[in-house]
Amino acid sequence: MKRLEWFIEALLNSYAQVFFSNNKWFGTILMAVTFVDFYVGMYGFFAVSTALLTGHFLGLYEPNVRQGYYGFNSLLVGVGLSIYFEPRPLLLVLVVFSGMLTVFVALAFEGILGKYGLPFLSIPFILVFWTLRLATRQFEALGLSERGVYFLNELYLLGGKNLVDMYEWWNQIPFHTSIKAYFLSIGAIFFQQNIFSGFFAALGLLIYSRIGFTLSLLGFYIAYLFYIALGIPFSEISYSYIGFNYILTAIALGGYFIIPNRNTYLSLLFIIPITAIIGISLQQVFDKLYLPVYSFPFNITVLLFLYGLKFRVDNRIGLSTIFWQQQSPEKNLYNFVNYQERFGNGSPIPIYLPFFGEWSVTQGHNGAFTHKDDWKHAWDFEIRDDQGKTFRDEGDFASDYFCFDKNVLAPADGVVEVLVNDIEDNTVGTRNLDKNWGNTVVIKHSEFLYSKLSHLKKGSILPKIGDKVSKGEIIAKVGNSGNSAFPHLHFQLQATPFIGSKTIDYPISDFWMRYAGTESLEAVGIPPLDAVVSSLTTNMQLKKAFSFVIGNQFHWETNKGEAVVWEVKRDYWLNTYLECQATGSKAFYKLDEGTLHFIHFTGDRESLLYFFFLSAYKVSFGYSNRLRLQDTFAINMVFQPNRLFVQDLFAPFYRYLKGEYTLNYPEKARGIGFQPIQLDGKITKSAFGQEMETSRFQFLIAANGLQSFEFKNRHSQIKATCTAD
Amino acid sequence: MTKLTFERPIIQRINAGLPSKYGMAHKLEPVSHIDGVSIKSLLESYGSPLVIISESTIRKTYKTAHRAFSSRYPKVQFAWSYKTNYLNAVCNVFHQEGAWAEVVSGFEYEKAIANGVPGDLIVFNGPDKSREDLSKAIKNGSLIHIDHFDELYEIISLSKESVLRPKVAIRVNMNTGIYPQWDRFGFNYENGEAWDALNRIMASKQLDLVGLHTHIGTYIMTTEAYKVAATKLADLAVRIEKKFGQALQYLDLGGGFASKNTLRGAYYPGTDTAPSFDDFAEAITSALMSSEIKPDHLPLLILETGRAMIDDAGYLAGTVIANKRLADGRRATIIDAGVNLLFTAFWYEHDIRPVEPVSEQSEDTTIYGPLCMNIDVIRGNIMFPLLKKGDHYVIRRVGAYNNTQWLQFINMRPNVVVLDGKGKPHLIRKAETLETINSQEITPDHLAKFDL
Repeated sequence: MKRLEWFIEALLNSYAQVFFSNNKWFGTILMAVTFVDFYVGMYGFFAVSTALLTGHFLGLYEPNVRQGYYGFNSLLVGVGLSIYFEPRPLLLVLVVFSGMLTVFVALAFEGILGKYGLPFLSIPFILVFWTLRLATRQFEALGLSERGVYFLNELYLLGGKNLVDMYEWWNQIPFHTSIKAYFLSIGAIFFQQNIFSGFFAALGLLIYSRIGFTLSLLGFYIAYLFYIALGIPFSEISYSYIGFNYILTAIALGGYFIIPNRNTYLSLLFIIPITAIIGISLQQVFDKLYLPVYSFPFNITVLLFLYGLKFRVDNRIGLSTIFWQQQSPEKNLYNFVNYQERFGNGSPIPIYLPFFGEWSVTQGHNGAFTHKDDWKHAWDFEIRDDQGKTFRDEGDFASDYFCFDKNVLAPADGVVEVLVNDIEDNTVGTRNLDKNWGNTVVIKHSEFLYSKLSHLKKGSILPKIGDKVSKGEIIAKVGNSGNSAFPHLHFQLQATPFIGSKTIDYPISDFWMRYAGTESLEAVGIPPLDAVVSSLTTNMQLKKAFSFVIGNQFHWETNKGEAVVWEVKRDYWLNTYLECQATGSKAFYKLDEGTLHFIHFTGDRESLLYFFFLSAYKVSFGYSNRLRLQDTFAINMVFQPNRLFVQDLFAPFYRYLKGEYTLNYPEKARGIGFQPIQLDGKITKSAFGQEMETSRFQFLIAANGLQSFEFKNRHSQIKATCTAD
Repeated sequence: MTKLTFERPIIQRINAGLPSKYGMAHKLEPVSHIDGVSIKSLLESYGSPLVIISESTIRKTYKTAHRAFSSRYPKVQFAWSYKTNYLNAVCNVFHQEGAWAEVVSGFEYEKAIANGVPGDLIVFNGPDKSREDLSKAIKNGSLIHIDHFDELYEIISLSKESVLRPKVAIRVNMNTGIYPQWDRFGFNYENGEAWDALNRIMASKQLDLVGLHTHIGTYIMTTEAYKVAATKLADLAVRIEKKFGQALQYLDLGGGFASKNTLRGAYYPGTDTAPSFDDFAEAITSALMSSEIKPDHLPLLILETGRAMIDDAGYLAGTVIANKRLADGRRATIIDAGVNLLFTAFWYEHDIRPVEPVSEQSEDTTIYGPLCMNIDVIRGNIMFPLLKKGDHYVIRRVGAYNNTQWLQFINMRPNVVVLDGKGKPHLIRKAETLETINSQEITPDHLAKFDL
């Protein structure tokens, strides 16, 4: 059974993937729906199985096979064939061949479209099915199916009189024409043009995704009204041949490939009519070939829009394409919103402050003096005293300035690309406009990411061009060269290695900031004008405890006597995570010099690892006494699905549920030696600002790492002791 | 028009034309206010003489020092040197600013504890720590800086009595190119005694070796010596890490930074010659950063500078008692504060100023204190304005050592006030009275009475 596990998962996912889902319940419902016509169900099943086994024996990447990526197109082909042809053994042969063919077409399109970061959607199905429809005109042994005509007979054979009665009852319900058309359209995705199937498919959709469900209604009704407005001839049945295109397009562009929000909903007002026009137009062409258009309009529109969006230089329109597909509009939305809150636009390579101690931003981004136009994303740093002065005495000499001659550090690991080290420092009050940037060093951190430090002291730059520098290494001293009337440090990030390159908007990581009367620890951010910023010094004890090393294991013993083992792992995409050996749960994390962030959790929410994920959600290795860290959870990470059901419906517009994280550092964690450090914190779940549930946790960190971990909420209290790591 | 102040008539050679080799004629500008508070009004309220401490100057100096180091080195910690000034209010200003405590006796240790300094934030220095002191320090997790082998053996023997592991460092003395070399404290670097001591600590397995300490001297005018000291300490730290695989958690470079007071016999005034905190910081941190200590194991840098931190914040104000003519014709001015209150007058040319406005005229003067002792000289000779009985003076930069070394000799010690950030005076130490002194005395019955 264990060996078949992948197959069952892949099978159900293949059904669900038709609606972009990997929800096994939704998959089961959809599978059942195909079996409303027994033979359709069977041949669909054969087609998927063929595809999955093909993928398996070819040796395709297993997680993709499990996700059903290579199955759902074959499913549609199989279902489609069985609708058109008599269920004979011969058809089975055809189903097997076409199932295989579909896999290869899917791979081809994965390769072609993948290069552009686009999905292949149901293009393989359409191409294969057209191919078959054209080819089978020559296959005389295949009889065209007449079962559609004798549908009730089939149903009787399948479920007796009761089923027929039920079917009749369903069709008798006086739905509004449009609702009927909606159900028929949804059913039509599986070639099941009856309200009965449509209703259950819609129900499944609702179970899978509330956002998906509302989008399906929205897409459908926009098109429906568009048809009426334009006076396009409309009948439930003929409409449903094409109607599902609008439903799928709405789900894809309204919430699946783009993070759902008000703007994606509004955008459908334009996209759906365009889809309708494309669909109606294509129909005219394909009618000449006696081929239906199937989901071709949906494929065209979705790819067209997703591709077009890639050419934007900014996101002023508020349509954020997903960067991490979690197979559910809700999950995508919650994680995206949370990620934005925590990390802004994200900085894959952390860049740190290039100095020791507390410095003030004396000119920020879009500064008043020189940080303009192409050079607007830059900072000037100086040191200020309590009175806000940057110099002692009269400030007549460069050496009067607190920042002058201070060490400049490499902001991240890199290689020195460009270096100017021989420009005289100016006397205070004069500028050297000939050599605007003064003594400057440009460090390459990765492709298209360079940092530039300017106005340095003459002759102070230590590395040579081509030298490797590591984060925090002293590379120069602050000076007063170039367009600098008094000593300061100019710091900018740029995409090209030249002195004078234009700046890019790139944040600084892990810095402590005092700004407008509040103090905060910023995971990433752009320090504004007059902010006082510093790097927190690392506490080796904390760092040792929370710097997970790939391959290491944690052994815990809980107060219930269980032994729990976690392993630190890294996957195919270099995501790092802790994996619980017993439950297979995974807690994904992001670790850098100064901070541990947990990002995501999958698996058993009763496991110790889940509680640990919640508790170590954000741990800074540097801290000052009484430091309090706060963060927010993606709400689907802390709330149960039943709580989320209603929230999901409104989530793109308004989120009333909140999961908040607080971590308190000790009152007086200080001193020398290895006394245990105790970290306390809580996780608060709230709705409309009203607290619903608070869980508390505590870490005890000894000299050699984590010592114990305690988690307490309404339902349970767990205490675990680290036995070895 | 206000009435002009009367000054006694003097005869002085007119010095017109080019300045002499001593420069232009020099006038001591009066200092009438501290932090905007009139000295005269303070003397009226609190009596004369009076020690005045400026809280805002302490804080400002601390911040300057802290900034000098923290903008050059990632981990910096100051420890307030209690012996420099252990008035509780003063200590607490430093503790509020984030300084730990550095003590050199059981008494100072108790004082720091009583001030509320957590035991693990006390650095315990000095050659005299009793067994009781040590056992208390071990219990509190204080940082014990071992001065000699006898102390080390004492600690090893104490550690056997308890499960607690003493946190220790050794004090290292070394040749840093300055004279005198303070080799009486700690273990010598050059003759290998320091290395020997470290090996014994590591071998004992009972002690946690957490750091290294040195304190190269006092009133050091050259930053180069600190560079040498930091290099040698770093070298020891590297050797320990190589041999025992243990990274030390801190290096304590001690103190001894020169303040801006002028030493007796110095050619230039201290305000011109004393290196700034930035200079000291640059020397020490550059030596540490360029040492072979691994960048991710850079130890905490502890500094115990006292003098340079507090000297500027202290003032001694008082009243002129009398003027007289000495045998050689020089003038003498007698003031109400002597070496009993101003111990540092033995080595500093203190900056003494008039409080009230004075004319351009000044006379070569010896300033004596009120004691009936020949050595009670505040300034041997100074071109001093013509103050008369009842006029006021103020002596600047007396914050360091005076409040701890002052004597209850002939006179009792006066009030001490601190001016808070807003200039409001707070009495922080009451003037002594006869009861203060007598309360400590016990007169045996047979000596209680006499009949004259």
